[in-house]
Amino acid sequence: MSSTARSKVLIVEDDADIGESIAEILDLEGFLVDRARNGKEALDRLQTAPASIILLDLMMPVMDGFQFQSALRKIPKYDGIPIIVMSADGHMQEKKSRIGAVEYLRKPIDVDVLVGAVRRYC
Amino acid sequence: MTMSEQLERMGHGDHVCLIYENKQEQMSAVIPYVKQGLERGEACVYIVDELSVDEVKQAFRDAGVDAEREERSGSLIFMTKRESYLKSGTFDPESMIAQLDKATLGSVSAGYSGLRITGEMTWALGDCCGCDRLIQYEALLNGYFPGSKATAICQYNRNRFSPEIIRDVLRTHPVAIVGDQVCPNLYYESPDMVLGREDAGKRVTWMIKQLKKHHAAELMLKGRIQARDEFLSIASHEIKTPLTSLNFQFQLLERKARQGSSDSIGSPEVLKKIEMANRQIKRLTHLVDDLLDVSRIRSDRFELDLEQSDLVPVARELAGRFADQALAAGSVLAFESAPRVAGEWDRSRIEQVLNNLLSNAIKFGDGKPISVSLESAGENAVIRVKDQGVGIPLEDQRRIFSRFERAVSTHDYGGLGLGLYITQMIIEAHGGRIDVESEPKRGSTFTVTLPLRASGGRLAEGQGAA
Repeated sequence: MSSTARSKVLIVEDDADIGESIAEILDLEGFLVDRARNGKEALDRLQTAPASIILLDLMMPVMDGFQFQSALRKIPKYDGIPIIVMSADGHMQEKKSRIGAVEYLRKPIDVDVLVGAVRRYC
Repeated sequence: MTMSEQLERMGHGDHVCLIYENKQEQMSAVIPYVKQGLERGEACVYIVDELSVDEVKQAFRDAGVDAEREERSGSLIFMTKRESYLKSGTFDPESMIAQLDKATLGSVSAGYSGLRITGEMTWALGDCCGCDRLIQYEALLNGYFPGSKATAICQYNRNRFSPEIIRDVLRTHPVAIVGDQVCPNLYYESPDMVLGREDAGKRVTWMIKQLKKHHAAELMLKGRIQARDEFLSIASHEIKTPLTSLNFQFQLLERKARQGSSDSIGSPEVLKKIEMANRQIKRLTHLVDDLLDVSRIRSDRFELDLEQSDLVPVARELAGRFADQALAAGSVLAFESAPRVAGEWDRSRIEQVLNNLLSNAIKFGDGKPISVSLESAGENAVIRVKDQGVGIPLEDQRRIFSRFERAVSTHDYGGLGLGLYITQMIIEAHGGRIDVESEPKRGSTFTVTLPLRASGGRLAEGQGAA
């Protein structure tokens, strides 16, 4: 839990509108945000700036959520970053454990639910 | 698929064996088969041996067929072995086939659409002359049936015949009914092969062909299932994406409007419209979720995500969330539960069930008190949702669970009427059941019984495909 430094949230989401909305919501709540449109971009972003928490969409082109997570696992310094999965699909438990996520949010996500989840793990 | 549905595909030229373990299995295949023949205007012949004619007629009556009337009209004939297989005293395959051909032609010229035969083959267990030629007969029949207007089910009691005979029965019938499955028979061999007239080389060619055919069918089926899964997944994603976007944007707008900013966003009129939009988004989301669920149920892709958990906090939280909504409708919502009800279930699906029952209780509760209780009773968790509102007339109590039925006029209460259908499917997928007690104007009590240990995470075949 980071109390003095502002926490940085990396939003990994291919839909531009959704990504922008989430960024706006979290910015209003006082978080620093960074965005990536797919798993590959997310890995690039992490190299330039660390993140305290990752919001991860599953269905993305180029590198999807699952591929991103297994790539992430191979890099020790990123291994401990909590991941919150966002997805339209069901099968929460199975996907959550496969990804090793701390939380699974079903789309469409309520703003309160989103903010609550991010606060919980930041 | 039910037995009748599977038998629908049977028709002229089909030579089928039924291998059964008990009378129930026997009758559940034979009766629908003969019934279908009668419906198709075929002359039906039943050769009894193991059972008595009265027993068989009773089975027909139980299935709604007036055997006596059919017999009087001549469409249904009962025969014994002496009148059929052993007519001449000994059994001779060639003359039996000639007899069969004559009977078929006779039926057709008498105005029937064909001949449908079934026989209890236990007659062949006797010491009669020629009984050793049974398998030869079955093999030769496969040269007769294709192209004829006859259909036959040869009934073999697995407990009475030796494994060697059953094995050969399985080699001599292109279709086999086993248990409640009507199967294209993988083990069928041509008459020449069975009668030993075929050489090994030809047999190998045939075996390889069978393997390829079977595997190709399996791959095709898997391909279709995969395609459907992918479609459902994509459909879900595609529909939820714009909803997600709209949801975020309008909720953000609503927040801004409530903060009372001085620009136009803050005007009460705009706030009101944003609130309306948010309500519609919620409603649309709910409808889409229901449709996607039904879609999954229909294509048998409805799966539970099981995990060990305690239902009490889940139920309590939901009851808490609904308490305000209930109060707004005038109903006081009371919740009571055992301290802990732990078991194996799909938490989010059970939440969905509670959600559905609670919102129905509020909708139809007529402003009267609502009570929700949760307890464990033996091997089950029991949830009760009770309202004292409009109630459900007895004749509608089963209908409310079916897919497109609603027991109120279409102008009231909104929704697609899928809630209870999905609720029931979720509960049954857990191996549980849902019951309703209700009286018009007195209210309704919905009782959900869920095994603490879920039996299976998938709908049983045919359950959702009604």
